[in-house]
Amino acid sequence: MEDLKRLIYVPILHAQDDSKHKASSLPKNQKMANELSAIDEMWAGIAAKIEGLNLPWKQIRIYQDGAPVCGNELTLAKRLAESGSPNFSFILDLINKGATLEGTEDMDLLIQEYDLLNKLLMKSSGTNQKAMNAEYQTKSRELLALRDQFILNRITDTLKKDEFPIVFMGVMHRLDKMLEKDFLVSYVIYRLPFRSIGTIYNA
Amino acid sequence: MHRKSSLLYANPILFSPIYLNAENISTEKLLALYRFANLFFPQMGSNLVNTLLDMEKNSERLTANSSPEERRKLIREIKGLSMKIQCSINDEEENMMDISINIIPGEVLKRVQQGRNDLIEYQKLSKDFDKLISQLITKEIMRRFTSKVTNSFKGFWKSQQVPSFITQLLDMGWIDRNGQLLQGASIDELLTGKYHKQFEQLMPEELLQEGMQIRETIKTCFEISQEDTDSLILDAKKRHALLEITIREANKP
Repeated sequence: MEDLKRLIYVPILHAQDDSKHKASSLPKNQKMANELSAIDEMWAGIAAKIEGLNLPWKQIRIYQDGAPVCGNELTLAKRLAESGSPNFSFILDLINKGATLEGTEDMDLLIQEYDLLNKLLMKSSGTNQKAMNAEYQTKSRELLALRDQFILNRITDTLKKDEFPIVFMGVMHRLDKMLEKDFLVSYVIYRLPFRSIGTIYNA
Repeated sequence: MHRKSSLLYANPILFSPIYLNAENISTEKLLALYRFANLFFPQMGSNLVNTLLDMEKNSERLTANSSPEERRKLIREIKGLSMKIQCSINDEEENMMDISINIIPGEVLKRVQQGRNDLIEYQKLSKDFDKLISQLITKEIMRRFTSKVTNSFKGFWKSQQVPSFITQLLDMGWIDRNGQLLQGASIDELLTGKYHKQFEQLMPEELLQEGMQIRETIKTCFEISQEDTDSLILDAKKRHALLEITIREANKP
């Protein structure tokens, strides 16, 4: 029987203002400083865990939540890292070690998600908020399933024989369960500081 | 030959601090366990776990009501000690859940703040922790329940006369021709909503009971609010901001 290939799965919590917190000026108050510190701490924890795994970096292919197949994946990662995303900063570190970033998501589906969010945010002050939220959650779940299916295909199509995948995916994705058929999924989880879970948890 | 440890060769569960084995979790027993804990440790259950995990995490939120001298003395006395606590819940010897906690008491004492616990903050943290755990448990339990429902649906396709409700679900796009439950399907609508009666007629009693137990467990234990508008909108704003940059940059020539 052929052994299943190991896949490293990192469930991530999207952080508040993840894309821009480093770009902003100094924190206005202690609360905000604590939040930023917790976000950095979470990513430092994930980085320490992954770096401690002694992985063969040149054989590592990275798949990232929200990173579309677009032809300029590396430029996009740099841009997001520059704008302050600790997630993408860490990915750039891994690329510098020799890992490869693969375009992971279907751009059309990401645009659909963006449109869905637009619709929700534009109507967020309306009276029928409950129905609006329920509708958003239903559609969002449907979209998530389509995205997971695309990512699954993407991983199996692009991963080379001698490579190992690392997958960074938001906790609401069910991709890990879909991957179990083809891979032996290993989880790298960093335990969050409880003081800040409420503020940075974005399941 | 000694090989450096690598995740590529290691047991996956070693890297998950909280390990849930959904296949072995009986929802009925989980609810009973929660009620048991509440009866005997009304204010302690989740707070105790919180405190232990926080100790391990070297969080600054811990407080100790002791004088600096007393603290220094205690730190000297416990120097070199370490604690490994393995919390494991089993059902008929089948493992359901593990939490591994490693604490160095001397380090914890060095970091804790002087004074009494802030109870309001404490309760808030407890709620946050419940939310995180509840989402993990909900996800796993629902996955298992969905798989059981799918198995039942599959059975109907093998029968001579497929029940009309099954063909209705197929037409609605809730199941495929293998009986597989599709993403658009709503377990809630089947269990207690619009299609409750048809679903009840077709499904085995024990499956229906399990579904109801799941709902009750989640509601009782975790009080999840699916209509937490503020956090939903806040999350939506964060994601929106990230996608805005992504789409703009990815579309640059």
